[in-house]
Amino acid sequence: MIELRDITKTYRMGKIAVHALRGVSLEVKAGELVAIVGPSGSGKSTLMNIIGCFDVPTSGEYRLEGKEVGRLTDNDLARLRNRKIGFVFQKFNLLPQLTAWENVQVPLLYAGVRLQERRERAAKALRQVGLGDRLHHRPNEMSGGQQQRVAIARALVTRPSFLLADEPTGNLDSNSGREIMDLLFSLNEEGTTLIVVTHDGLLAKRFPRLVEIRDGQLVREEVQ
Amino acid sequence: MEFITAVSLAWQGIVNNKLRSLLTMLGVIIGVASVISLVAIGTGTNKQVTERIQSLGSNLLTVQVRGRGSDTSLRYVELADLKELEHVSAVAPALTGTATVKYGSVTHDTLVEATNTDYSTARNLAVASGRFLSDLDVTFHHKVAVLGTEVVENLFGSLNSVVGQRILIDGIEFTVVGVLESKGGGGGMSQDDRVIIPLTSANLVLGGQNIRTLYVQADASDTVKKVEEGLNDWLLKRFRDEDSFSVFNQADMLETVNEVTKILSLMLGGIAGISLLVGGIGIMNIMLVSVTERTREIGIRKALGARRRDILNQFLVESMVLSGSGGIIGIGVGVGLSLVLERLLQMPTSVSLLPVLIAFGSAVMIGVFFGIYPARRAAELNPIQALQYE
Repeated sequence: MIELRDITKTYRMGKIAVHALRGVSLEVKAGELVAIVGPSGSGKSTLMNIIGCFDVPTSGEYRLEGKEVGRLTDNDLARLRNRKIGFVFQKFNLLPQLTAWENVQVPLLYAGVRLQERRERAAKALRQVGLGDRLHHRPNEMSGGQQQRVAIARALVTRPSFLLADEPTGNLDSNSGREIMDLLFSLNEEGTTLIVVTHDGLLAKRFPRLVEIRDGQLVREEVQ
Repeated sequence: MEFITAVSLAWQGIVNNKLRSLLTMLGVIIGVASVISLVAIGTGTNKQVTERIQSLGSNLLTVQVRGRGSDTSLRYVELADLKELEHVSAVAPALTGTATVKYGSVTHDTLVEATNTDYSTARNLAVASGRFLSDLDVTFHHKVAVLGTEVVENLFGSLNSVVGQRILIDGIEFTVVGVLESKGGGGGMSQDDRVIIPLTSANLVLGGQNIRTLYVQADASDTVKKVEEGLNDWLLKRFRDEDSFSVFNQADMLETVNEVTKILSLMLGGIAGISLLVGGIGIMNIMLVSVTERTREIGIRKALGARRRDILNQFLVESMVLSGSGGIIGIGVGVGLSLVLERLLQMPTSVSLLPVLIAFGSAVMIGVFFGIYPARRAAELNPIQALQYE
């Protein structure tokens, strides 16, 4: 489903060229559960930005569901993020002025879904993550674990091709962290493709497939 | 994204930030309110002055005689010729002066006008009780008087039957034969503080019968010009010098007044418009701050699939709703202010729909115009950097 071939990414910082990625190739099949690990500065975030369609590679090929996305415009990328990818961030990134229910509706709004359907699908997604009774709570009225569940519901609500989670437990205590991972794993068992980016080695060990990146290159791939 | 959703989203933002939103709107509120109330004052003044001029009599020409050498006035018998001119329906001389009127022990200083019967039609005067001057009063030098309502109030207080009472005008006894209908107009411009007596009795009070002011009425509005020409010819023959008299046309006067008040309205409206513009700059300022503050929100929305257009629209709608709400409040304040000015300060105001719509429309347009730059800034943000913004 995701095919990366010889991806490079070069940033220009003044006169110096920074090679963030130096030829990364990676394939993720539908229904897979993959952890991408690496220390900070390894190119992990750059790779995530490219997989997440925030950014385009300098060279190489990126096929998402067989379709080349490497040369798309900003608007097309926005559409892909909206339709194909569900994001889960370390800092939850909920809109503080909106309720849980409204937060989950935001991606549907940009997908052009009508109000009635938006409400129904958002409520359903919140029930799916166990927050059916927290529809009208605002982020600051919820615990970190609950906020991350709202974020997961928001990622699921558009029925994306895959979930892309960036340090999803990074801002949580170990208990809620475990709960969130259990939720993500159970979603994967139901068929959702899941890519998690983390620098937490312990967490990564729970993944059947682990990819390590260092200095802009994949250095190790483990299948457990 | 649907427009209604965008508006309700923007409205939520405004309500969440009540004080700041109100302060931002203040410029627009003041702008719209001042446009509406100042234009209302301009229109009201125009209306009032027009009404005043028209209440002085319609199709009216006013003659002022300065004369030549020792020949400085007209005599009453000469006016008979004028009455024979084509299309003339009334010729009324007017001698005016001030005098003290007295009834019992009550005295009152007022304006005395000496004239004839035609005065009532030429100057659009009607009597509320009794009668106006008659031809006989003039012919036989009757010492009779028609009083304005203000004189009646001052002299007789609450007395009902004024007609038939005897009063003294500068010590000479006159009989009251009628009371005029009130014409209104306060603030030292009262048209009700007057006493009207026959021209032929003017010797006793005003010291002579020399006519220097004359009112001539044409029978229709399209004959005024003709009458004016005839009048000019007659006066030129009489005085042999066109500098010795002047003829004013009421229509010309109305036109001049209208022009002046129109310029006044435009000027007031223009000044108020500038404050509306300043209000727009205030909105731009706050929207720029808001974009910076909400960088993270913009990042999140873009990550979730908002396109440039979506973000641009969101912020444009927000500044439009902001200025539009300010405009609506401003309409309320402006209309209220006009009413207060009218009630409490007796200023003539007239609120009409068009200036209200124009003021509101420009407020919304200003919101859009000054919202474009901040909204573009928001739309151009890079989602990766915006998400990292603290």
